[in-house]
Amino acid sequence: MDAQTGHRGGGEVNSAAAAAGLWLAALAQAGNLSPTAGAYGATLGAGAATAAERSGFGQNPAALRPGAFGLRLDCHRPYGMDDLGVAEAGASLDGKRAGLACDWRVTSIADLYSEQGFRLAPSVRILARDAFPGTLDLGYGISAWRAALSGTSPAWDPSQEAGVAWRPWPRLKAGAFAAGLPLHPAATLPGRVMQIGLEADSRNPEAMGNPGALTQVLRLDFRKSGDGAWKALASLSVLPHPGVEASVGVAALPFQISAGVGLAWRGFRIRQAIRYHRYLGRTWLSGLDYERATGPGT
Amino acid sequence: MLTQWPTYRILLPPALLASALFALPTSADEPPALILSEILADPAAWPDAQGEFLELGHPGIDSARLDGVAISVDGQSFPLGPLLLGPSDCLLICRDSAAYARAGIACARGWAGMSLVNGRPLEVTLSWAGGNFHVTAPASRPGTSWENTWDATAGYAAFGPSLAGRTGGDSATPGARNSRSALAAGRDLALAGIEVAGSIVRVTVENRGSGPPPRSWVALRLDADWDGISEATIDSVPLDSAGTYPAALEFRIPTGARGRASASLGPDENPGNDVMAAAFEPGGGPLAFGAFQAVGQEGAPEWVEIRNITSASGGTGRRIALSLATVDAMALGAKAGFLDPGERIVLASDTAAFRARYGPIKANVMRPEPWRALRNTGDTLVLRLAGAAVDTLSWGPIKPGAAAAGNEELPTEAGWSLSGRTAFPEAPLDVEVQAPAGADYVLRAFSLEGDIVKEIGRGGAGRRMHTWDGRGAGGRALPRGAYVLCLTFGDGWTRKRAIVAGER
Repeated sequence: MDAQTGHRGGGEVNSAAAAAGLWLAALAQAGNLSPTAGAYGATLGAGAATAAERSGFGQNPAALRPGAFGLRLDCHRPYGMDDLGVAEAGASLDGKRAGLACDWRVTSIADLYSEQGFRLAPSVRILARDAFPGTLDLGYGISAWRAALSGTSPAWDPSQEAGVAWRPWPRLKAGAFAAGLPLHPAATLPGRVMQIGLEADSRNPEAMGNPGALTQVLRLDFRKSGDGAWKALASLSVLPHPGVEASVGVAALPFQISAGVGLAWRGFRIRQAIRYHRYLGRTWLSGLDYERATGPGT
Repeated sequence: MLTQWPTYRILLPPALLASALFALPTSADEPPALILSEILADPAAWPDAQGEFLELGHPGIDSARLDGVAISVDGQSFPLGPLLLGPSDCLLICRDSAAYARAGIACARGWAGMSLVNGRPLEVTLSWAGGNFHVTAPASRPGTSWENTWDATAGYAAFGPSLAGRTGGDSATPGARNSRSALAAGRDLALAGIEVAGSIVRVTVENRGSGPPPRSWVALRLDADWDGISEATIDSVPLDSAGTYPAALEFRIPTGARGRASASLGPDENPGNDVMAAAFEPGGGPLAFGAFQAVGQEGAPEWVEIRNITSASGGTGRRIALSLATVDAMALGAKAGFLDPGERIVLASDTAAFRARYGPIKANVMRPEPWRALRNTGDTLVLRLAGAAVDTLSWGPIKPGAAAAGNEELPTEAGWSLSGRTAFPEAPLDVEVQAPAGADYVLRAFSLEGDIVKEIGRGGAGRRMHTWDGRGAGGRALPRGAYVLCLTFGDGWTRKRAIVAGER
């Protein structure tokens, strides 16, 4: 016989095949990668591609604040649901050309589920010029997710992320990143997040000069989560004073709008934002940041 | 209790039927020496590069040696060389035979260059010295393989979907023929009845033995044909004790359609036992039974609800004169008035007791004369309009305290009930939605980012059961995590619930 042939069977599902399928599928990634840290609460995540915040889950790891140390704490109840909560904390320390951020996030459903993420994200600045080609930051992050369903043993899933942020001219910045990538090459990618974006500034945000001048920042991002479609995100932030920041954001589809304000005093910044989702309703987001200089910037 | 499981639908447009027709062999007495027996183009549990496969079969009754065998899929060709095939033998061709070998499945050939396009029908041609076989394989569905029914009268060109959702992965059976498979001889399971009401096809599976069922589930295939359209679903019915198991599956049969529904029972993807059929008249409507209460608790009346469904199943809504309607011997009479699309009327054994128990509702309540008692031990009601039967309502023995079909409460408010707080491929979540008259709803699952990961279902007034198995719109299991289930009615009224879904 020249070929292997199977015989007519009763059609029972092959258990070995099913087991192998489950083994592969079990490498799928977990983790809440919704960008809600800091200003993202008020921009619906616009700016995550260009690293508007120094650190946070679901954002570009290529973020750097040369010569600064930062702490932050954020929390919210998604869509006002009593049994659902998300809290996040992060710290970052940056030198002139390199930095490190670490983050922690917990997402929980009362009496049912708890998911914790631990993230470590180093970043480097490989170009640092005032004029073209400007500044170029690269970042990489690795996360470990611990998910525990009530009544079952916790499971751990690792994931990784990588990104690039480029400011070719002082008032323009572009960025892209992919997060939620599995560490195993054969794993499926249902949890992958990709985002690209542009940021236009009315003045150079990293330049010295008149700190009291009005600053406006316009951001336009496109984000894709898992098998979903690309989503458009846009936001406008206005800083009439270095201590005051107001932002509005819009996203589609589904349609969402947001608004928020941040007030800073002696390195502390308190933030409050509200989002409205067409189907799911309102979400209030609160955050507290602290940042201080540790050395010279670029 | 009616149990509804995920269904997989096949719409066979006339063009596809025509292409299948052209694939008929020149002589029905001589089957082709080689056919396409099964195809999996879009595996869900495995990546395409590892999970895709083709299965070839030999329908002949004698062994055959074929020389110069080659297979072509959408212009891609692959030589298989000579083959020696026994009667009913199957031959598996895998894109990644090493992956299948790790799973203990032997591939006859590894075709590394094979790439089966998803989402559209595939042209497959088998050729050998002295013959060939061409067939159009149906467009892929995630995680579902297509099994050839081995139906000679269809030219071996008819396919049915595999039974997904049982294995937590691709429920294909590569390398094994299971066409029109039958339950073992001496089985106690059988189909006991089939009926069509509106767009719902109801069947009853019966365990005729005295003990527990011989297996924990049985496959059920339903076919419906109307106006040149063929639709099929493959489903599973869980079995846990002796007795009967009602199952109801909904088709998108438009109001006014005339056609035929059939059911078959069996052990796997292509059931071959107990084929039963029932014809349905235009729409099965325009009236249909809704909820009912047959177990009269202390001081509680018996009642049954009737709805105007003329706009609920895709047809044009119209006003119905209830003076023409009867439920068995109960005539509604001229006082019943009219029923507009989406409206309902409740027939109760005691209208005062009904209002005292359920309070004011947006429906007429009346007591027909004479009242026909609803039997707790099992009963059948027939709804007629102008003498023609338009709907049938049946129930088995109702146990006190059990959530039986006859123990439903009247939906006085829009709402839902969930069978749990998790949705996994191997343990789906059942969501029963009850919508008041005139209220359309949509049930969706959202990620915490607010993205719609799956529209689970939509519908109109009445009770409906939906199931979500934690898969996204693309058919792949979502990452394990928190998701929001959201039920939205047309007037903006919304219910939300946080659940865990995805991979367990």
